Amino acid sequence: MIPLLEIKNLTIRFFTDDGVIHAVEDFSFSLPKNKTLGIVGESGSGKSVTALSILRLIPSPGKILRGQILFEGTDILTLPESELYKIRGNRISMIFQDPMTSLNPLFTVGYQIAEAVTAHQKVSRQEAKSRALALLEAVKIPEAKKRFNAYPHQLSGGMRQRVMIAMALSCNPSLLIADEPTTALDVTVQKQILELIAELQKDFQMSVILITHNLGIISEVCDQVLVMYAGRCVEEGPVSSIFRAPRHPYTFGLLRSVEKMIPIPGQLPILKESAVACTFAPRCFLAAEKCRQGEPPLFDVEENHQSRCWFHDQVQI
Amino acid sequence: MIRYIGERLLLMLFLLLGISFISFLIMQLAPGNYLDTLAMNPQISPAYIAHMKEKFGLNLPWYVQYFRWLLGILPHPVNGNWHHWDYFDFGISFSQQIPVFSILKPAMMNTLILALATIVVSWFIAVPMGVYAAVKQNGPFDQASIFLAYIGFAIPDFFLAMLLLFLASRTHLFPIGGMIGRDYEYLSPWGKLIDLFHHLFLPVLVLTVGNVAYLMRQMRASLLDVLRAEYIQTARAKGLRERIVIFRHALRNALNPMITLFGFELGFLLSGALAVEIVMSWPGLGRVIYEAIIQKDLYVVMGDLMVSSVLLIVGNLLADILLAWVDPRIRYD
Amino acid sequence: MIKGRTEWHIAKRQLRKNKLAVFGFWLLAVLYFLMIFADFIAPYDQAFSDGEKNFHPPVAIHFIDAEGHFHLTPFVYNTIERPKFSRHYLPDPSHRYPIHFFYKNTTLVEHSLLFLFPTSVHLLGVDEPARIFIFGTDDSGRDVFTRILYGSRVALTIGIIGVLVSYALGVLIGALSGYYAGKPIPLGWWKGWKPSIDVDNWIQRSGEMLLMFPSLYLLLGLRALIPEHLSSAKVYFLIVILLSFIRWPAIARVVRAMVLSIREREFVLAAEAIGCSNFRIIWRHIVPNTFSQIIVFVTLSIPSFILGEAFLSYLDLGIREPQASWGNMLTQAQDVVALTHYPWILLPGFFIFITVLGFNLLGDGLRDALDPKMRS
Repeated sequence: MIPLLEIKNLTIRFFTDDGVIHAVEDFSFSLPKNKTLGIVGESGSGKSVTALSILRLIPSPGKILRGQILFEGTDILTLPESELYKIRGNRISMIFQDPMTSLNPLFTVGYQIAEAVTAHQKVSRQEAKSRALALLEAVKIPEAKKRFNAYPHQLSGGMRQRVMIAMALSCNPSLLIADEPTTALDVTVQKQILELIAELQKDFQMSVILITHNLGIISEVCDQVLVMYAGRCVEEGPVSSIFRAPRHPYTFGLLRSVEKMIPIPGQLPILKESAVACTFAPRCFLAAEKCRQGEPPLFDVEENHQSRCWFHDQVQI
Repeated sequence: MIRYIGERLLLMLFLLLGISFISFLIMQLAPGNYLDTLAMNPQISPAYIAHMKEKFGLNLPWYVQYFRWLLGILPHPVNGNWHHWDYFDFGISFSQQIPVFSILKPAMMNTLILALATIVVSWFIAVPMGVYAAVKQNGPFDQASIFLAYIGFAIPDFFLAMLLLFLASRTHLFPIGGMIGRDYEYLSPWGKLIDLFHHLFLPVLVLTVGNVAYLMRQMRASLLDVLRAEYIQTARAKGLRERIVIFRHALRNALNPMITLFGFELGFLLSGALAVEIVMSWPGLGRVIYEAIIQKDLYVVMGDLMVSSVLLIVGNLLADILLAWVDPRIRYD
Repeated sequence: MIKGRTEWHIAKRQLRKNKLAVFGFWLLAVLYFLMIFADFIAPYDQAFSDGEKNFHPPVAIHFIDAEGHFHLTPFVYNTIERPKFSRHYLPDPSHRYPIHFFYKNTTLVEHSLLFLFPTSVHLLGVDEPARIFIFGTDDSGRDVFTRILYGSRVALTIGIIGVLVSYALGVLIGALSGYYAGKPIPLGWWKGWKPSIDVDNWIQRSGEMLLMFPSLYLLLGLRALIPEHLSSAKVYFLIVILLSFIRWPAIARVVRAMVLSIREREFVLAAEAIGCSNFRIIWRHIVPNTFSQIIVFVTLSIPSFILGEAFLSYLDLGIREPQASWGNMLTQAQDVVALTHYPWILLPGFFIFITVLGFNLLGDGLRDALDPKMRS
């Protein structure tokens, strides 16, 4: 069974005036149908860039240097522009962090959703409008008919994010990428949105990639977790496994910061050249001489569970 | 929305009152007046001058003069006759002995023709140029346009006007100043229009150069700003073609701040037009006020100041209303 | 003081990268250099006129003479007006007048180099009766090039002085306005009515009033307030006041906004808590922090002063003879016939243009360099 999405050896660099930034390095994972993957990492870890690369929306000066992004077997990176438009918003959809700035303030929300429909399907305006209304109801917006003609600034943050989700689901995508969908929302609303996403995932039968820096929300929605650090995957595995027994000191640190509010000392590095050692070593409590001598490969520690650490069996909860 | 306009109009009324006072104050403080120059002429008897002074009420205290003048502008019954109303009575021009308003009205029309023609031409040129420069940022067109914009913006209006007059007189392609030709009256309606355009060309060119330089840069900056916004990324992620992203989403939002500029245009152009009117002999408000100042024609200057200010305020009001109309954030607040 | 020195260094580096801004800077540097050394660089002085050479075109400089010989030093020919009073000049190739550098011209009044050394030496010169009118002459036979150099003194200084005056005025008013925004000064208590002066409101409204007039109309109107016959120096001074008066609302508004944004920051509250007098707070704390933005705004405002003075002088309402000003030199171009036949009288306008261009380029460059958003 071919996975829905397969990323192989993705490398992305940003060519800025200050130097070349290695945003994503040799990154790989695969996502089966109807499953939810959570990508966790601090800001700057490369997770958003990876997500954007799936739809080839990386802003310059970023460039995808190497790699393949296989969606249902076809490499997105080699597709011509005309084919790309058929995938964006149609087979793969994406929602972003701040719904206030992600929606065009000058158009009604109804219009923007209907636009997503007409972009890919030849339907009448009436038809698009009723589809948009149906979507508004699917994302549980109260008084959908009234809200259809509302402008983004007239809605609350949570409702705007629902609108974004409705827009993303308009063409029944097989894959939904949610880039920090709850970060800009109130805590109470966050839970609602996550529940909504989980529900819609089942209803619409799609795969979801949830990107966040907060390990805490992963458990709500995801089946599989991938932890990113400095543009690399450092651990990947089923949610239960990761939460019960993390096998990478970084993941361990993340869990601890969520549960016990103990932060990980130090800062995420911005790499300007290829790493010659484990990138997490400077902040790692398990770091040893071996870590500084070479970058560890991904070790298979359990079924479907990998870790990029020399000392993966010494990480304990 | 109606309330918004109403509020604005009320504010405008207060402003008008204020500027009428300032206009009055300015001319009151100016040393000397037309009658003084007359007094120097030995052929005019002092009795006549005294008579003129009284006729124009120049002997009265300043606040009385102000109220008389103000009352003249507002609709008022003439000589207590409630069946005959008059308004816009700005007084009489000393030098031409005709009502000031009869001088100002055609002058205002002429200035408006100049200003409106400039606005239309400028926007038609500047908006596409700005959009193209932004879309092909740092490309050859963009770089050239930045360069040209600096030059266009730095050239003084009156100097450019002189330069063009020089070219006009050398090449005989365009008339050298003025608004209508000598045989205007004998032309057919079409001929009249063509004659007007012929005379309008150079003055509009002068004003357009500076205007386009400014507007084009604003358009470019505005569009570049918008293209960086998150909702543009959303639009692309939705699968919209790049062309639709730019022309439906980006441009619409980028034009918003330009709309306010549109209303303020009138105010900017009035000043620029003054210089052009004087150099190119275009009979507009600018030329009128200049000549009136030289001749110390009190009421003309006051009236001109007021009228030009009113035009500016109306332009600003238009800008406010337009902005409220196109930006739902203001409309529904 | 809150600003560190490093901020300036970053800004300076950013500025150097901007080629247009650097070009503008050097353009202005050259102009100011010419202005300072005008006495020396100009071959003649302001009032010098050759009555026989009115509206003379720019003098041709030759290296090869009538017989085809090449000479290392450039030279000019004298010209004769033929036919008489036609203002048409023919060169007389019979005698060569080489161009001397560091020419001691004793026919002119002595000038002082840098106000210190009296001397008669000029950069260029030719023997009588030939003339080195590089840019031709005006209707009184005065050298245009010389007058442009002397005219630069008016243009290049009025911008700086005018901007300083309006800056001082605008900052003071704006700071006052911003500081008292929302805080009316109570005047005491009288029969149940608490009168107070809302300083901010009054200032803002009067500023708005002034902005309601198109600027040139207001300028002309206010100019009418000034009596006709004043000395050039007094007119200069009053024009500066006039132009500043028109400009203060714009500056004050900008300053007020900045003050408002800074007002609630901690260090101001701290200063208030310590008991610093209001004026001190304004002067010591608020002004330095708004400095960089003011610099940009001010640099970009200088052109409007230069243009204002030039236009007024052009209309004969500004600087008058015998002092040369680029504006009043252009007055002669009002006569279209003259303009057609003697286009070199437009050259002062070109100088106005490049001065304005220089300030615009520099000002924009400063703005980009000092704007934190633009840093890469």
